[in-house]
Amino acid sequence: MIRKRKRKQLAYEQPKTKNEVHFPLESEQTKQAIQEQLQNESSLIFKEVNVQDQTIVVCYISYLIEQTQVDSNLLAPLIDSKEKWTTTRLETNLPIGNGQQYDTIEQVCSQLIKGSVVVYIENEKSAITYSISKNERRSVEKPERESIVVGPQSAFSESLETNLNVVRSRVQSNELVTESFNIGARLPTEVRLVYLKSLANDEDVQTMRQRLNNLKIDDLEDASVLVQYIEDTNKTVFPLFYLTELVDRFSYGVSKGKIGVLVDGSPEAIVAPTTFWGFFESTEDVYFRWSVATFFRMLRFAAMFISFVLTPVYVAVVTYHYEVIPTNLLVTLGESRSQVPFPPILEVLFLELIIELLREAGARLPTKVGQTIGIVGGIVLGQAAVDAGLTSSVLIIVIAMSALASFTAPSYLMGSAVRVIRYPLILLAGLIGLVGVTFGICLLIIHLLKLKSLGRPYFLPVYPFIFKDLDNSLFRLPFSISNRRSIALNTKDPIRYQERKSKKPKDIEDWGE
Amino acid sequence: MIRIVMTLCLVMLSLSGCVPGQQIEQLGIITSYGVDLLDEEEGTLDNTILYTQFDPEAPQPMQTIESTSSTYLDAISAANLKTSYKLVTGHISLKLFGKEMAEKGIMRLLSPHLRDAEEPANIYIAVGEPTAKEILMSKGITDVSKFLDQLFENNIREEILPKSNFMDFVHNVDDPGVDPIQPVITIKNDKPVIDQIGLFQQDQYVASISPDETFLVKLIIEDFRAGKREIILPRAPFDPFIQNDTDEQPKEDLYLTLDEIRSSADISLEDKKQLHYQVNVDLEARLMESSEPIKIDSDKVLNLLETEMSRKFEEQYEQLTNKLKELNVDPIGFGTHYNAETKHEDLTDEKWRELFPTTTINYNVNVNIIRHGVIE
Repeated sequence: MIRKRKRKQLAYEQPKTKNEVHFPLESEQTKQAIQEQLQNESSLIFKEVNVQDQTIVVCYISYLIEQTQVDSNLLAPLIDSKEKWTTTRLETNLPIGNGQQYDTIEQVCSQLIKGSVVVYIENEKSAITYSISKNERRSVEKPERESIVVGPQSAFSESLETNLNVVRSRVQSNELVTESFNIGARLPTEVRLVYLKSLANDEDVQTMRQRLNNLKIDDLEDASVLVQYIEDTNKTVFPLFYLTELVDRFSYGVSKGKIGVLVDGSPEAIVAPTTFWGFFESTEDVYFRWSVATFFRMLRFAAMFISFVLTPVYVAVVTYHYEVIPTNLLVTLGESRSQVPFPPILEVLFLELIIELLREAGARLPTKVGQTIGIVGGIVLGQAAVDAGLTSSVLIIVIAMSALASFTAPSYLMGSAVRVIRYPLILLAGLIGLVGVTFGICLLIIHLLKLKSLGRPYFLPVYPFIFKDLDNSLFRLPFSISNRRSIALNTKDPIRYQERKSKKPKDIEDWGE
Repeated sequence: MIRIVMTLCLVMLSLSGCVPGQQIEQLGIITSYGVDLLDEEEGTLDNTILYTQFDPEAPQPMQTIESTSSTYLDAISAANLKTSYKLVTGHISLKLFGKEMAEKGIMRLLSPHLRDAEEPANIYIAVGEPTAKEILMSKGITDVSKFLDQLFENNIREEILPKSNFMDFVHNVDDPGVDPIQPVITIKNDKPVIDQIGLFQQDQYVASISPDETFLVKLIIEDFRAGKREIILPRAPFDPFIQNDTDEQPKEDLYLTLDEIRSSADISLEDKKQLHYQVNVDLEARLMESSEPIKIDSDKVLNLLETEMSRKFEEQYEQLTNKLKELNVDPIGFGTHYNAETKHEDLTDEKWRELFPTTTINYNVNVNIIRHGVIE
């Protein structure tokens, strides 16, 4: 145990800083130092400009730079100058913003690889960098993993700047804070903590900030990886933070007082804290009328329950509890079972395996092939399995229904979790029948009650029970009644707007007043 | 954590041996059980068992099996020797007793349902005439169990049969001062039909009454919510109100049908010494059909109809009471009212059998026709 911990500490140690090379330097020295620092990058371009008896070094990596900008806004004014250049004149007289001064070669190089141009006047104390980066990035596209019918259709892309841009344009408030963190010692990745200053709970913000600060890792691949590092516990199959690719889902969360995290290079954003019920909320629920939205949300809860209870119950009933089956169903069920040579549990596991294989294969294959696989699997395999006497026809319906139901969860992570917890339940049902299913569900509920998301109970508002919060999670009410923010979130301002004012819409007759 | 998981797995695995598996395709699921008396002195039974089996080759999932035994559970074991399926009783929906068997008392064959939680309690109890075997083996129907089950269910829902399942039966047997009534099934045109309603003394079948008389009993023991009933009145008092009578031959009777019957009844013991009872029955109904075109244009006709009906009902009640007293059975439960009024003497069934024939019962039926159709 002790040895393990020691090894961990060693791994987290920062790489040691080398001897730094400070300015001032000769132009040739600068060139050598930079090349050495960047491992002889072959696209590194050095240009020495002689103006007014000065040697000015302009250096950049060609593929990271907007070449036209360098030519017209940097080189042209540089050469045309009638006066001597100084570092301060460079900063003020060139038509490019964001010029920054650095003293060491190392600092300059770290800017170079981000897409900056370095301008250095020989023998000066510091060099200036301008960020003229050319980012190859996807444009803002339609969501693929969380497709919706009604509502804004923009999804996050891999570029942090684009993502911040679309978030800002949806949350147009000067209260929006985007704190920057650099995570990863060897390959640093920029991470932004996004929240509304006047709304988000300070403790939550502090918790998230602390978790990000305390994270000492080598590199960070994606937002989904970050979630796994900073989640409250990893001993669960349930997702504790909401990962979304929908811009409006993210901005909706932030505008309700939640905390968002954006990771550079990841098309998904993190929203926290989240409750169990939140994973069954779709942004469509807000755009639909309240009655329709409530129906759909209830449908999703029911679907989730069906998804992990239906097959275990089938196994339990067919193996142990024939008394439960209604008399009219008995003959149908018994006859289809009598064709099958396996015990029910093997039959179910076999068919579940087929469905999982189909899903996995469909997800890996290109869209067109994937569709064919879906149809072939669904119709041909199912029919063939029944004909071959491998499964009963009733079970096909049961499995298909529970598989379908698991896909109704708006969060793909939650859908996957529900699919996974079905298997232990099936085993329990096969071992000791409905007693086992009940036992399993009890364990599951206890587990869910103990979970926390960013330090807040995962099962809110059902446990601990908050009556006034039910309309924010289990169902929806008309906006004229549902005028509070979630009490559980403990935001700085719990009321969204005053209740009665907006209640009666103005009619034509009221215009004269 | 690992230790907990390991313990759980171990417990699960070892517990799984404790649960007897009953895979549905290996079961012969008994749906009906019929029993007749084979030998009166030795008390041996002739059992007929209907069960469902799931054999893909068999043309019919419903099967019949016979066995001889002295008890109900032994009957199942004996029958098990004759089939490749494991016979289970968890889905039994009907227990049918041959008339001879029922006359000896049937409670001994029902006690497993009270002792064993796995035996279902929502089963129907009925008497088969002449034997249970003939009814369960009747040729006219493929699935006799299902047929009888639905027959009972529909007729109870339509308020034609009184409630007569296992729980009601046991309740009425165990309560002092009230006797159960159960349907009697006979064969007509190769099909089982409910013909009469059986009267019991405790758990022993005594005699049967017609569905008409059952209506009178049911009117007191259960409240109607939407019943139907035909009633026959003498035609004479209505002659002046019957219009355009095209029929040549004058008839003696007038047939009327009451619909949407709602009733409430209360029994009161007026005199504890003399055992004098007063029974008040309030009955509200729609008049839906009449064999003669009566013109109901005034309250006078309506009142006449109502009083005639009341009188008719009261007459019928007198006849029924005499019959019940003669047989010395009390399905209406006058004894329970006596028991409730006299707290300190514990009423036993034997004592009530002595007292019941000495009672006098006065009936007062109040019919109220609330609507009589939309045709003017």
